[in-house]
Amino acid sequence: VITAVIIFLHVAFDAVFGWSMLNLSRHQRSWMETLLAAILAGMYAETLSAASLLFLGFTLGRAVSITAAAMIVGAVAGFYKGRHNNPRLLIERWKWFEWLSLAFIAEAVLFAVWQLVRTPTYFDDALQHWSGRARSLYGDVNWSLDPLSPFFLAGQIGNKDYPLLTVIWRAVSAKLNASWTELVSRADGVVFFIVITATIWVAVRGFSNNRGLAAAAGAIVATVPLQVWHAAAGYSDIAVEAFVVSSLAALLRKEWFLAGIMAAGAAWSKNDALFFYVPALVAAITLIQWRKAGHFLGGFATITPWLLFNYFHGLGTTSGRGTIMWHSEAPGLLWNALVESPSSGILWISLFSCLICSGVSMFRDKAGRGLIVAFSISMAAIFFVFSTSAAFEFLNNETTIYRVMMQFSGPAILIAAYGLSLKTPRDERRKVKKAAADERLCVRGTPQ
Amino acid sequence: MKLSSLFIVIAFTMGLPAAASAQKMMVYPVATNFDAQGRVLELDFPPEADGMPFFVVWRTKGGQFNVPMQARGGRHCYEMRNRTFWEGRVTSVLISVPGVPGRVKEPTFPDEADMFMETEHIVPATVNLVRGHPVFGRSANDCLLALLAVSAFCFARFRKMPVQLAIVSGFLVAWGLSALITVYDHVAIVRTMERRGGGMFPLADVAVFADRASEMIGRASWGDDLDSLYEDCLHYRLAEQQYVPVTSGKTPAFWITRNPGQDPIVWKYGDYYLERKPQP
Repeated sequence: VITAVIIFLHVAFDAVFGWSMLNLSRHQRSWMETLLAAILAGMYAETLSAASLLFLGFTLGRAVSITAAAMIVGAVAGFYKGRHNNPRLLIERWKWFEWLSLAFIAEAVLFAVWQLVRTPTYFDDALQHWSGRARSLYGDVNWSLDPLSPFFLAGQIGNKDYPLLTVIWRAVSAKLNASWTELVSRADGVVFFIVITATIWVAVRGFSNNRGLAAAAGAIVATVPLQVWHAAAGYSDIAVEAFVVSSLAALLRKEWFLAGIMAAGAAWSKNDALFFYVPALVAAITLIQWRKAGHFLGGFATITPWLLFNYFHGLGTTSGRGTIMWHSEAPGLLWNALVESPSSGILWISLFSCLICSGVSMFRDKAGRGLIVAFSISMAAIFFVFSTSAAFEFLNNETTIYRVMMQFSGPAILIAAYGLSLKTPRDERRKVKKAAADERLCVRGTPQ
Repeated sequence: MKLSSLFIVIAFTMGLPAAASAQKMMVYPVATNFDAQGRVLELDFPPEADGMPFFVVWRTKGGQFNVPMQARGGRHCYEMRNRTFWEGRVTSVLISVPGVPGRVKEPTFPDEADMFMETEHIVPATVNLVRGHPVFGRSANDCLLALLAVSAFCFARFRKMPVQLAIVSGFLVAWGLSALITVYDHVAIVRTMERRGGGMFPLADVAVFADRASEMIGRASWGDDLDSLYEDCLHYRLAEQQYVPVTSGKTPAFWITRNPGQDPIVWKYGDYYLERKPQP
């Protein structure tokens, strides 16, 4: 119970810092949108700051103390400066279908919490790359930043080229808890799960003003069969998904800099994001409003300390062989993975159908064009990597492919929901947008 | 045809390439020399074995394969047709539990229904793919798509919905059913694991061993010669104790192994040994 309280306070601290930063400038976010983005922004800022200090030679304890002090000062200053930009709390009466969606989501969260409480860290990558390295960092004996040491970035237990967001966040949680526990090892997965579900729900509500579509999108992403396992598995795939979903949601709100920060958070969670999602997000922003690409890249540039450290030490971004070779069985295996697998059920065939049906409307709409191109680029990147690189092995033996598709399921559901929202008649949509804008102005109480 | 039981080397993780070596385990034959096409395994576990994890191992010309499964009390069929390497001539199929009568058979319709009701269980590969509920040995997705089509037709025909809305509604019906089946799986997993306890298969022993070994090692150093998932579990659980890599050339204070040598054994659990190494 004490560990759970400490983890909650850790998340709350990150959220408070993120909230204060996100309210520094005027915005049209709802309180829920702000809160969800704040959690991720806070986690990103905390772990990247701690990592930068570790790279400079500080111990974990010192790095955490300095980071915490800086975040407290930043939060106080942020709250003072952005005190007029706080979104007002607005709670609506829920409809029956929203309760139904919430029931499915709550069941998934409960099952994940049961796993956290009643089972130990069990799955291989968590034992090695994520919680294994985090525990080594916390223990401070099997961790080193000397590139000649066998313990460099805990390379004796996991891949040292993997980025450190979850590794550092868990080690900091253990520091705060004064001991490593199995809850510390995996609890962040539930946070990411909730953020993904709620971000999609709120984002769909925001751009469509259709409560049924929003509730359905939230429930669908929460019930992707593999998703709930990752809420308690201790892997970083769910973190990548959370940041990419948040980046897309920020793009749709025209918050370019925040979208860039969230894309950086995805890259800071796992290298997959650099190949599968960042190019797609850059393409999306270029198509939506290319003049704002600089803002996006500015946000993304916050990941520079890690990229520099990675480059300087020649860590790279993939542990596999770098050769390119076409595997002729790959298309068939990918098709099976998308269509036949119980890990995603009928999700992908339905999403493809949905995007085909709404394709024309998507291409007529500026944001829709960006989103469908982003979807295509991510899909093409996944296809390319799994059919031409050493990653083919993970397609052939049915391992990483489903995890990657799970990462992509949240963003894909958001994009498909945007396509569906465009299928409502144009005049009606205009009315809806106007009503939503009016509502936001009322909520913020800052008439223009 | 009765084969004697035999030791076999198990690569623990379903679907992963076999590790150089893995866990040695006693396995017992169920059937030999048959065509795998369309056949499943039928086993008669006693009621008290319900929920017990075990391995099914089979050999073909292509090699030896295994899959972790969960026992169901009584006579039940176990789906094998959707296993990647369950094909061609199988020279032998074995299980890791003694005294369980079993056979290979072509399933009847009640067998198919019985296998459909078999619930998900947690195995090391669950994080990569869920097993789902195969229908006639195939993915249930085909049935869900059929349900989507029928529901969409009904919405369009009887509720007079526009086609696109009817299709979306049909999808929600099919997806809702699959979500309910997932909930059923979750409930079954919680019930089974709460009833049986006993740790996570196949890491229960190494976890118990490592936790006690951690206390005994304290601030001293340790090394090991375990491999695959067992090594990863051990290294995770001892990550706060000073590890000595084999490549360092140094001698750790404690050595963890499955094959004990001449050094004094200070702790043993299952087939894991903690030895105290003489220091130079």
